[in-house]
Amino acid sequence: MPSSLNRREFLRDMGLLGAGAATVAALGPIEALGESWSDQAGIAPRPPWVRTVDIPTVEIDWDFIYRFDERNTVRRGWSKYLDEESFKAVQELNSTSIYDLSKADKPGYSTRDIALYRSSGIGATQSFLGPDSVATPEENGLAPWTGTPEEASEMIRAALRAFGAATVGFVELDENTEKLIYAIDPDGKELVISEDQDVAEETETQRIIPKKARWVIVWTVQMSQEGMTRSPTPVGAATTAMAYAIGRATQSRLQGFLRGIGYYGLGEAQTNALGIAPGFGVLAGLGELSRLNRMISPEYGPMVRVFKMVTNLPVAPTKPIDAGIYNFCKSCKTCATYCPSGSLSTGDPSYETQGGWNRGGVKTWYENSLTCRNYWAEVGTNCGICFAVCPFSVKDRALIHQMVKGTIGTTTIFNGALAELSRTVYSPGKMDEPQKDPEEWWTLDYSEYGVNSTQGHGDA
Amino acid sequence: MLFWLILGLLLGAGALFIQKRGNIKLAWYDWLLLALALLFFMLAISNYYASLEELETRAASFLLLSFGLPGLILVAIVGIRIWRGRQKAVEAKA
Ligand code: SF4
Ligand code: SF4
Repeated sequence: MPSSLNRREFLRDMGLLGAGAATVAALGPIEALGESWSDQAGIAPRPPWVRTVDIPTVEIDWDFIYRFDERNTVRRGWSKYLDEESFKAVQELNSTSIYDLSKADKPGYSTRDIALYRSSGIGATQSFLGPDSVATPEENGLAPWTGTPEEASEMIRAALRAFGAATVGFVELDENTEKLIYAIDPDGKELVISEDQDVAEETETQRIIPKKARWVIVWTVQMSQEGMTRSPTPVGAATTAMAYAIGRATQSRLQGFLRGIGYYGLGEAQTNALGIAPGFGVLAGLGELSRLNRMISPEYGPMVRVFKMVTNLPVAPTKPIDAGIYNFCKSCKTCATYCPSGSLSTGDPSYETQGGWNRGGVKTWYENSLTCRNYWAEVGTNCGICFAVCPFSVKDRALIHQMVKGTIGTTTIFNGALAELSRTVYSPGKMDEPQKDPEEWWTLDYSEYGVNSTQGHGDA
Repeated sequence: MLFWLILGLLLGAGALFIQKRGNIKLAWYDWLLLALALLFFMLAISNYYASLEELETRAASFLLLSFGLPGLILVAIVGIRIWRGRQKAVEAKA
């Protein structure tokens, strides 16, 4: 903990003052009182309106949750949801549209934009068991690291921050949370949680997770607002590709670190493998579920990718949070309004799914992943407009953001007006166009990876 | 940092000016209104520059106006009150 008030904390407190003034004036339904907030092991200090709660703000019916087959997601099982002819057509479109748009001189689709997009994802590889290049303590003649679960959480957070993660949380696996581990990985291998086996293993057909590995480390990697706001162009999509690349690198480094202290970490064998990332993120308190049916973090909004790793290192679980985000989504429909393919729900959260790609069991806004994926084929990227226009996708230099987030986390009565205001001020562009000029991106004095790595953190 | 230093100097100079010119009499609520106006101006300036740093020019103008305008109105209220007070004093003398 820092011993004195630094600039960021000062600004944050100023924001709280502003939010406080707004709520006192309104005397509306004040929600900030009641639940406590505290520094949890492994979680950086957060503003008071980010309250820890016992159960997530989104309703979960654990009886209806089962271990999902990842191949049912549209990401992997696109062809399942289309007839042969339609699938062939969208596949063809998928592989040619980016170049066709480039030839048609569409802004943001120049040769250099496409090169940036294609190269941003290059980086570390990933695997379930991780690299074995780091020697174990035994191999070095040392004792394994020991400590309390709280100390372990703190240590993992420090290591992961250094490796490139933004925020870090922890979930303990039990009969419910275990259901967020996929039954089948994207490559068809079965994920077996084994009572009999103490050692993790990967065979031709299976990945074995020993039942003794009871903890999940969950972390976020930031994406660039400046990049994403150029969605759906390749410049916009480059930031997603980059975040995945950083995610892979952090995973391998964490696996190496765990091995080096005498434990193991079981990671994603490929993108989106192992388990349901937003679910673990929400349970770990890294954010709340949103209308995007993705996690929104109080620090970065949806400008994050979420990663997870199962480990046998006992860590102290972190609690879910209520920062008013799920409630805000009930009033704000910006993402759904701007989505060019109409894939996002404009209604109330519900248990009703949209198709086989949704597992169900959560009272959320289920998306039509198929129409979304088909739109990706049209624009030749992974779109991202919905992320870009979200009011939570803001930087944190201006005090106004803390004032607004403080207000949203404290009362619901201004939510509609704040959403409207955000649309007018921050997303004035057309719905299927980038909100900012993609060409201008090349002239920016861009920060490393296009993110502010001190955002949401006290000690730079 | 420089911004806060300049602001502090300007505020100090302003307060000294009011104090030295004995003919400006402010009631406690005038001071309150001026303090509020100052808060608005600070929010306007800080959000304006921070939004420019964020490359959000539209937000910068919007925030400058949204916080600056109420500040100006408050200063105008105090100004009108001072002016009226003086008018009354002149009329009473006459
Ligand atoms: S990525 Fe694009 S198409 Fe898909 S839901 Fe978001 S805005 Fe809609
Ligand atoms: S745009 Fe609005 S409704 Fe959509 S996720 Fe963001 S806050 Fe929620």
